[in-house]
Amino acid sequence: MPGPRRIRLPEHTLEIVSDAGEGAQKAAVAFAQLCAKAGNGLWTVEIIPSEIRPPPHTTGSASGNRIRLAERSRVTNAGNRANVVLAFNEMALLSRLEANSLADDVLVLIDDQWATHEMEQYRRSYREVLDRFRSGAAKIIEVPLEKETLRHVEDAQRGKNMFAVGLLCALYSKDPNVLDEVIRGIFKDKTQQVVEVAVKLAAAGHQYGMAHLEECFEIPSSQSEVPKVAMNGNTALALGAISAGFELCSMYPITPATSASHSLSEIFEDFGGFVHQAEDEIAAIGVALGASYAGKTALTITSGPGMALKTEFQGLAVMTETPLVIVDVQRGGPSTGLPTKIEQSDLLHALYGAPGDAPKVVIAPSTVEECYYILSVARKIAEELRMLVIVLSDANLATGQQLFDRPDVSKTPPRPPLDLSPVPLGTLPYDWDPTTGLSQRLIPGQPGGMGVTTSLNHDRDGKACYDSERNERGHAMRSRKLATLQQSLKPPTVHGASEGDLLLVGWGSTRGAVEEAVDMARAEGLAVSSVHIQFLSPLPPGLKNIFRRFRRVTTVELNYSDDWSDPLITEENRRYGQLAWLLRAATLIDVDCFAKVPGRPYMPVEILDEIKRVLDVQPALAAPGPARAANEGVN
Amino acid sequence: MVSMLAEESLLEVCAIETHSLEDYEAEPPRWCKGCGDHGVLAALQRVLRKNNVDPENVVSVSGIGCSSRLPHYLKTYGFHGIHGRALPIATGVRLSRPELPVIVIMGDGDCFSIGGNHWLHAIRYNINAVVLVLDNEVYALTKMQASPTTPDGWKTNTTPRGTYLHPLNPLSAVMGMTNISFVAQTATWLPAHLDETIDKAWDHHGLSFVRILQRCPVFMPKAFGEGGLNFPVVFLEHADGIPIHPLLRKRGAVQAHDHRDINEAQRVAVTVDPAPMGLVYQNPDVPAYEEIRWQRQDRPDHQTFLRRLEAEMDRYTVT
Amino acid sequence: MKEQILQPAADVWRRHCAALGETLAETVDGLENLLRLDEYHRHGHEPDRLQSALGPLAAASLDVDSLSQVLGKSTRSRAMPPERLVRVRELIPKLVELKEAWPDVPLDRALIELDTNHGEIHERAEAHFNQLAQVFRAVRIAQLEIRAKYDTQVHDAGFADFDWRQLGPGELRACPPFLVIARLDGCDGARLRSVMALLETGMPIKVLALRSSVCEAASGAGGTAVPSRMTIETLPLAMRGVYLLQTHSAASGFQAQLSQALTVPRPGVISVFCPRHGEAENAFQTRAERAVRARAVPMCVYDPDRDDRFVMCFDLSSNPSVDVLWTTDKLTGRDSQGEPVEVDEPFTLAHFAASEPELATELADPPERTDTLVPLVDFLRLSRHQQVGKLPFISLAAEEGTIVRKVVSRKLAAQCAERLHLWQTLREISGIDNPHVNTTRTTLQRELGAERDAQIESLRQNMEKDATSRERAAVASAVRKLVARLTGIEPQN
Repeated sequence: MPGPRRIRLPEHTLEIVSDAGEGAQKAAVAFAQLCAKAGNGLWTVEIIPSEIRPPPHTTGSASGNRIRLAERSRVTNAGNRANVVLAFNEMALLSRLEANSLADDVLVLIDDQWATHEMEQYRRSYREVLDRFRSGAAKIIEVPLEKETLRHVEDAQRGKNMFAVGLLCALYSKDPNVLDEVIRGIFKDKTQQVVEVAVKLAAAGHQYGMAHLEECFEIPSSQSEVPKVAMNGNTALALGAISAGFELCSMYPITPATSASHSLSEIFEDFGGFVHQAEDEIAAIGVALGASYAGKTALTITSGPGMALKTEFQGLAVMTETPLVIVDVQRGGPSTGLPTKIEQSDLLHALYGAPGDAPKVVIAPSTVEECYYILSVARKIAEELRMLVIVLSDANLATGQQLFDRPDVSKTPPRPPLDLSPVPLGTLPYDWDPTTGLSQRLIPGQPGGMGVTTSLNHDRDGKACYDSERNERGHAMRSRKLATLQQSLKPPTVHGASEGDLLLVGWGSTRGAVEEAVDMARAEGLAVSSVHIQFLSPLPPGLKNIFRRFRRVTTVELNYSDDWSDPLITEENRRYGQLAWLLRAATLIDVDCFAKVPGRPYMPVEILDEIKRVLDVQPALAAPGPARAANEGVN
Repeated sequence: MVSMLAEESLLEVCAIETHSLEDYEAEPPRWCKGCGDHGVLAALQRVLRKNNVDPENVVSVSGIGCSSRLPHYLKTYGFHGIHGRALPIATGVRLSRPELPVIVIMGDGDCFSIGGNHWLHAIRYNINAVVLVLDNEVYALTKMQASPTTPDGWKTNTTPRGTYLHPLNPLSAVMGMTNISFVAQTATWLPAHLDETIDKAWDHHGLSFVRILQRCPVFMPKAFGEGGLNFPVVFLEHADGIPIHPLLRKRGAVQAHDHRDINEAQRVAVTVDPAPMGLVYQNPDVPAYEEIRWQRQDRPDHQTFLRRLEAEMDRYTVT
Repeated sequence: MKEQILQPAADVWRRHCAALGETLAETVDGLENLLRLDEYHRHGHEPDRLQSALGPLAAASLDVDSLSQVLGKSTRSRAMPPERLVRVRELIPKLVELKEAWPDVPLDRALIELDTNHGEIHERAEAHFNQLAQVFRAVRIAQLEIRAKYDTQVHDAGFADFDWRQLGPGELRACPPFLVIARLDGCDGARLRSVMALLETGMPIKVLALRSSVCEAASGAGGTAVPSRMTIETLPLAMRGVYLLQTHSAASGFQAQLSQALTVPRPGVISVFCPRHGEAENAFQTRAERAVRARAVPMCVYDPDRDDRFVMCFDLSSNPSVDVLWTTDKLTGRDSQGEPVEVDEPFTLAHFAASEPELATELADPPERTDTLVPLVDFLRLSRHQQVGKLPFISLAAEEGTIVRKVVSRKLAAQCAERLHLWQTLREISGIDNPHVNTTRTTLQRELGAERDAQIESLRQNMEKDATSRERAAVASAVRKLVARLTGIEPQN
């Protein structure tokens, strides 16, 4: 048997979608593991229905995964529009089209049972959707998923996904034996019978593919020398919290932060810690603050609405100089907004939300790998500098799975024990070093250090006072600590040439897409570079110098800004994106912004389009900008 | 947590070092003359001295209000936090350092109004702490606004024509919660009774909720029947309850009360006139939240910790 | 049998040794933590340490050397003073040595027979407790060091001369017990005195006194019921600080009570009525219960620390029917003549004796003449003179539903009297029976009764007076109305 013709490609992006509950996600997990074992770089993102129980066979019910696999080992973002989509029904397929997630020439593999289904409504919608695709450049392969699955099991709902994985295994020229291994691993806690059926279905899917596909893809790979792990950002935060030595995480359930607490709850008690679910967001941070005050720095995890509720306590942490770490997994706002979608719009709130002047450290991880390590940094800074540290993650990192080098656990330092040694006579609770603003904190149990920690303004001796001089001193010292930290920060490295026509500045999880877009632009000869900022407060040194070497500087961020072309918007009233506000103020440079709120990550091509628009270069004959395509449909 | 045995050994040695009342005095209190808070501070200092507690091993936590200034005047580790949020902070201290006893001081607005949510849940957590609410039935620090316990028809700055609702009865609210373990009421103008109540609250293992009716001579001089002079009280008596000094028997009726009977306690809690003074309810067998969490937790040594972390990492390792 | 009783003792021993081991381990951990903390203060902010604490992420954005300089300044000042460091370092191996030693120490080390030379017992007991004292001394020093409260000026002297006398009750409670085994069959006064002598030192030794039979001879002079000899049950009156437990090995809760007794921080006597060599378990259980019922082996617990008042410390509650002298059985059947007979028979020592081989010889068949026969319980109440010529007897249930009578020998009767006296004494010293209380109760009842009667009487009189006056008023009113009707003139009021 000749088998399908192989097409070699450096990377591919595919989506697997079904109705909620039909197992597309499990299929995706299996396929992703298959590719990872083969040595491909990976980035996967969940496609989540917005409700818990959406009606089946509707666009609102689509659930699944997007997988980007590549020859190179480091994949930094979810990619552009998908090249392949495997859909269990036409409504799931349609939802991906409406999300503008599919390339014009996408290859569609779809379950053909709806063509001859007994329900007229399904037959009709199946025809209509496929017609729409056919009128464009898409290629459609109708696959008898249901029918083939029923040859092996009685209930196709439990098994179609395994057949689909087998089919994908053939489509991507992967080794079916490795797939067998992967499936056995995934189902290892199930009965022998279930495992055998799953394995059989996958093999059947693979055989079908080899027999019926005309073409298949080969994304080559290389085995890496170092072991790799795959997990999403929330899991990385949970493991990172453990390796950072935290003993208490207090939280209140809120999407999309909760899964981090779930991961922690499962294992924390084996590591000398526990997760406390408080009665509300305010109590959650209160408990964390109390624990930190008592000597064991604690952690609280939340999202945007929770940050708002915690604001008063943030001020308390800063005023009392109690170390504390808050993780904000940002989501679409304002108010309840889009709980499951990505945005980066809590930056200014994190910086300035607390009333009065409350200087604090704000840092943002840009990859899942950074989510693992960032809590160690946060904790160290919090404890040593007696500061509040806010870690800004987002829904993209939280749910996106990335492959990265397995961390060297053996390097994890042991928790230093609690220092209960007596305090020398005359020690002051806020003995600020006049240069750095740093002071040693006293913790309960240390003999001789008794005294009240108050939220009122105080001087070095900790006692409440109301005069101007001491108020200003307190402010100066708390602010000085930021400068102290800033002195130990390095300027960010520029991705690309150190000078040019355009510099893109990003923060958080947009890094991958930005750098990929810059690479594409540079390949076309455009003088574009990018820089990524990890510390938002204090800002790293050297920004002005870097910015000055480019004709234009613009931020790329996922939060709202007015469009220059919108009616009534002028130079005087245009609202900028949040990082742009910050950088304009800090550097006095006319930093522009590409700041939108699509609720999904930027694709590199979108950023490339913006680069070209800014540089006034004709854009390639690509589809119109993302925001409008959803309304107009694919033409 | 140090084992009981090591603690015993330590007590033997440290028992030779005794503390005096001055050891628990920080700066002189700045409450108004005649304020009931003075008595509470003194009672706390006496109880600490009686038990010979090292000042560095006690944490007092308060909210915002006149009463919440107490940690400034008590020479222990104190946390003067934000309005209504003393209980979560206290919970955090108990969860991370269960060997340190905690005293929580709140006012009526602080605990029952803005802090109401935390109050109810703290009772259910039954953290091992002494929780004192100094109830002067008004917001005094902010100059006289109505609080949830301000009496019927009382004129304050926010209710110049009189309050609209019946005051909240904190005792009956607490008696309706789950996991209650200690509920008592006393008053600052009955100092002998106040001392004994705080003593008993200190000895109890669990959340000792004590509502202390407190005179505010500046904003509420007429409350509590002219500061306790014409305020009918009934003392609850039981062999294991709060002892009633012979002189107090002239100040009010005495009633036998079984504080182990929850139904009887609920009946007593609902009474407002005469106000019941004494131990309303006690159940020494309710476990404290921090104990439950610590018992379920494993605290491995560093090698085991690393081994387990490696095992967790293995779960996510692909190649 | 001995093994059965020693098993719970061995369990207590093992548990305590393990707990000691754990405490020592924890204390060692605490000291090692101090060293780790000190090391952290001195070196924790050096750049490479900082680097590994921050992880690989930090290298990209943080200048670790610069940060290390800023942070290191203040923490180095927190390092431990050198003398303290030296003391802590020297303390650790000592504690480790103790920790390794204790959990495996076998019970035999602290187990000895009473009959051994007293000097030797004392020596071994002192050695045992002083060894434990060394453990607690080390733990105390370590705890002081951990809390930075060790002051050489103040503490060195105290710890120089440290033996078991300095231990506190909590520590003594945690000590693995030192056991002296004694066999106390018969009324072995000598052995009992020996036990007392041993306990006088105040060392928290535990004497395990085992016996399988009850007392054989009465000791009262001139045949009175009051015993002259020392009885183990009244030991607490003479030695107020000694814990006493008397029980039998088939009692429910035996293990728990034994464990409790072995752990008290005081000298203690544990008197256990146990099976004879080769006796089956069920048989023994029945026999033991009968012995308790007969007040031959009163179950008691005396815990000096329970309360300030003696009566509250002495607990007889495990005995059946503490409120009466004897428990009674209702015997129904036929007598030797075949006549149906029903008798409420109190269960005395004599009844118990019927099933004890050593004592059964004291019971005999009654003679032909029955006029001298007196029930035992009544006999015991008679005066010396009245007892002359009378024969005390008891009724027993025999085979096939017959009730037989057995005459009790003078010797056995005297023992019953003594047992009765002892039981009564125990009831009085445990506060169950007190003549003053009884008198007060009776007087009170009488007075209250009288008062109540008086009240009822006065109420009744009032009611009658009231009724009479109402009657009169009603009559007057009716007459007025009648007059009014007849005469047509309305009354004024």
